[in-house]
Amino acid sequence: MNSGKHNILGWLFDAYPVADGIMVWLIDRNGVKHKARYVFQPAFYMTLNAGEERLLAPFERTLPITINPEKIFKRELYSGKTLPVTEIAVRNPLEYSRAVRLVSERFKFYQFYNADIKPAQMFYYVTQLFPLAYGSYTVVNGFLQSWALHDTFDADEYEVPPLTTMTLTPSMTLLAPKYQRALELQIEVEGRTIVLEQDSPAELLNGINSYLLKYDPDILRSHYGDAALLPLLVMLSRQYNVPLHLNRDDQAEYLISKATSFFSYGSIKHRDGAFELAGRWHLDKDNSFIMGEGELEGLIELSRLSQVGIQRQARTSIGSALASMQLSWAYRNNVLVPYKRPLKEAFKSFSTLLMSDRGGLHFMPKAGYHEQVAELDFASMYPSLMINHNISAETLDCLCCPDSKHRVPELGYRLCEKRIGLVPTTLRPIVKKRARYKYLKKHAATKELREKYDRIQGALKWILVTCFGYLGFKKSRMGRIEAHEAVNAFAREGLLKAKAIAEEHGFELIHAIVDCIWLKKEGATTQEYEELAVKIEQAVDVSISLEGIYKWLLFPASKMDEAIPTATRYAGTYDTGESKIRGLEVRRGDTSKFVKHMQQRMLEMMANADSIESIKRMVPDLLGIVKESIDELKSGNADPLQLIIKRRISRDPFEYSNRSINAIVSQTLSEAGVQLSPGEGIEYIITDATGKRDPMKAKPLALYALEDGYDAEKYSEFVLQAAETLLEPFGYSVDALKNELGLTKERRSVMKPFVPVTMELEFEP
Amino acid sequence: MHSCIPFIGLFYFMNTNLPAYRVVNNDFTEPPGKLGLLYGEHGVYSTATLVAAEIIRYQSPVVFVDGANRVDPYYLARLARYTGFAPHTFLNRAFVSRAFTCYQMDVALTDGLLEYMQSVNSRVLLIYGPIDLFDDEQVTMRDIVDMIRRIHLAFELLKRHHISTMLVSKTPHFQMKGRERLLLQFKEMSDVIYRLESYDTMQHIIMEKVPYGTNSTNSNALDSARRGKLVEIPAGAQERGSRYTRQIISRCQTAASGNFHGSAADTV
Repeated sequence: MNSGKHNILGWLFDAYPVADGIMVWLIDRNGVKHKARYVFQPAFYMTLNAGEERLLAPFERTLPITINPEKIFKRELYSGKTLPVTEIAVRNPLEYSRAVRLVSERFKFYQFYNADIKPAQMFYYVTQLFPLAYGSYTVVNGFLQSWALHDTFDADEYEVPPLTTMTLTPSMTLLAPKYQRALELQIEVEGRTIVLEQDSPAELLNGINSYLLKYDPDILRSHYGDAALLPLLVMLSRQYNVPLHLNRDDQAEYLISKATSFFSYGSIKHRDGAFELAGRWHLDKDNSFIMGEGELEGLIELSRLSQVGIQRQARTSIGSALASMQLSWAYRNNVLVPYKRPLKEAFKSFSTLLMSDRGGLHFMPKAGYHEQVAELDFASMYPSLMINHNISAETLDCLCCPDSKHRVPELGYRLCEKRIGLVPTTLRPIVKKRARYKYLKKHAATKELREKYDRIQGALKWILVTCFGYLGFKKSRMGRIEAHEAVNAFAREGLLKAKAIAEEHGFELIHAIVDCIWLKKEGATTQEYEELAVKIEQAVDVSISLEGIYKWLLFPASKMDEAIPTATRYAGTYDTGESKIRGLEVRRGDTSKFVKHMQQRMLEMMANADSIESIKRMVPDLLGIVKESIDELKSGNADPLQLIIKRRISRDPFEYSNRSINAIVSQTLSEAGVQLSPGEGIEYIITDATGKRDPMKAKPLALYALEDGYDAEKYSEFVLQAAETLLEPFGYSVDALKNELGLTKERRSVMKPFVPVTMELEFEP
Repeated sequence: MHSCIPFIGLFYFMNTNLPAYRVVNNDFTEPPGKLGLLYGEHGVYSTATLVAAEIIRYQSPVVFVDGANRVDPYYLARLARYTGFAPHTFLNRAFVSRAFTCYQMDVALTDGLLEYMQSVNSRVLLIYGPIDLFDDEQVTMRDIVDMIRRIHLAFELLKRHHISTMLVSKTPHFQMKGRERLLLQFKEMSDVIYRLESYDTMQHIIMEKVPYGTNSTNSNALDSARRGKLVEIPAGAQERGSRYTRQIISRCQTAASGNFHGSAADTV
């Protein structure tokens, strides 16, 4: 560490806890990296009297804690009351969790505040620094002493340092590393791709080390780095006693967390563990939702805004970003956040529950094709309602406004008239920022800039999408189910108002889903729809705009019952020629590429139609596409890679009690040595769906060989079902399609696909 | 007022031909101030709702703390209609607070519950899914022990105020190691335990523990004989039950279509 005083003009690159504070990495304008220590003691709070403080005193001898003798006055989040609290600072941030645990075990029935915030996070909140904060940092004898920022966490325009990147991937990316017996790695750096020779593990590790030392990348990108590559390399490093220089800070440990399976919206999901580095960012695109949505620009934007370190933000949920923004607000405003003492739901009668426990409003459409229908969308409806109506956990039925006139429709919950809630305060700048980035995107001079702003606004959009769900999320620190219900109640009221206004002006409501309405009026012009949108906006106080007028629009019938339409599946073409498709096979993750491609071709053809009548005229051609696909399947010419089906397993492989394809495939993989957890994805090709000839029914992609073939009958069925979605209104059900295409019931046969000369597929068993 | 009882999908009877939920009700609420546990694989929540409907009808309002997200106002409303009551009469006498984590359950049970129950004149508390919420990897065993201790104290307080509490749970299948003994702990706390089992296409209630001691003046004289035994179904009961059920449902439907108490607006 350098001695003397330095002023560094640059960016805060990384921060992580060490024994005596926080280690920070700065990058100056010349790209030089500087390491500095910042003395920091994370603190938590308790409400104790003098006698109780004496009971706490012995802990000062056994734990690295300091009890502040002075009472500190802070505001409690929910009640809004100012409380005198005792501050307990932890001298070693690495011991913070242990200190909280031991003290809370002794003081079981006491209320703790700010006790479950990680030290690195608390450092950002207390100092109000944030990842990539640009400013002038003063470092004295290796210690960060002070700083003057030329940047704010919510700035619209900011500069990012030039970051060097190295990519570490398996050479073969068709299969995840866990499915591969032997791994060959490759490194991409400065436009070069180097395949690492691996005669011995030591050579491999030395090879990686040499590139890390030579290029000293700021970012190490990887494919499956969290789940497989980096843990594997570290294991080899230990086994062969070859130090691995993944960290830029050689004295720091890796920050590793375990993989988890969890329930989300009724289905089980899997998240790989994390492998974070010190002084360098490790970003694994396969384990980062936000990298997938907004790339590095979106990640940086979110990380700055939420004040969560880049590596952490890449791996956590959007909800965690929102929670972090709320916590930061609490620190800025001297507010205490209760620890493990959530707000309970107030008791309510079943009558009230019937009214309150409802979601957004749907008006079901009439199944089939429609013409000249306009779509009007409320923009960020739920966040806008939260902001406009001050909906937040602490503002609902607050103690300070017993006579509040601001009430939730239908439910009568009171809303605070004195304090602006935490949720609206947090959301307001995001809504504003997103609008700004959308504006910048629209007026960007170059394609690159347009894409950049699009990625950033996309990342912000996800915060707005998740903020409503997070309000009712059971593990949200500041969530509350009544606040969630209140937003729904306002949304229902808004939609009903919109419907009433539209009908008053002679429009017919075709369909409505929560924040979107489809209307029709003979001969109505764009201007008329826009005028209607203005009227609705004035009444509901949420921005609404005309998305477009459809030349034709299809609401397919339910697959279970053709008399029932489906609310969230539709396809249509605007009068601009642009298509919009939701919920159909072509958009679904569990449809094979082959079927998607077939339906996509049909939709592309239909996009040229101006009316239902012209689609009807296209039916023979559309049937031709279906027939072509089925012929391809039956001739064995279909590419097996296009037939891969992706699913998630809902339980441990051997917990399945049936012989479903998911069960068979996951058990086959387990027997082959691949460990799978609930929520993880599997990929397979169906070889005999009936299981009569081949009890295996399907082959996992990792074990598939071309001679395994595929079940042409089953895939034909998938094709027919996708065609039925579009053609059923013209009388073409699956059975009718079979008749029309002359598909009689045949003995099922496994097709051995034709092998193209260029294709090389060899998987080790 | 019609006195017919709904038996939708329920075929468990005592040898007295009393429906099982009535027996549960008798054991559990009289005398007041007991802690009961009803658990089993399927049907525990609907059985508990039947018990609740009986209590609402004959005794007092019922308060629910719902940790299983299984409180069903529609079912309770249907039960009200089948018994000839307007739905709102039942729905306004049942109260709920939902808990989605064990911490919320802890707060719901230990913070102001007694005062609330007194404010709505309720003497019966039903807690749905009290055990499953503890099967959470983010909750330490230490926290669980503390919470259960607090909850136990809350139960004792309710007992002292003559409030009967019924814990209703599906047989827990824990993901987390070391949590299996939670069921045993709740059983030890309970004065009366019913296990619901399904076999021979029927549901049966097995009484694992019957309330004896300081608090028990059980109205059912067969208690000692029943302890630890299956509540037996007499020969031919299944057939008789089916006929009887059809008869009752038919009577209920007649009641619902004719002399129904309440207006169309009450229909849920």
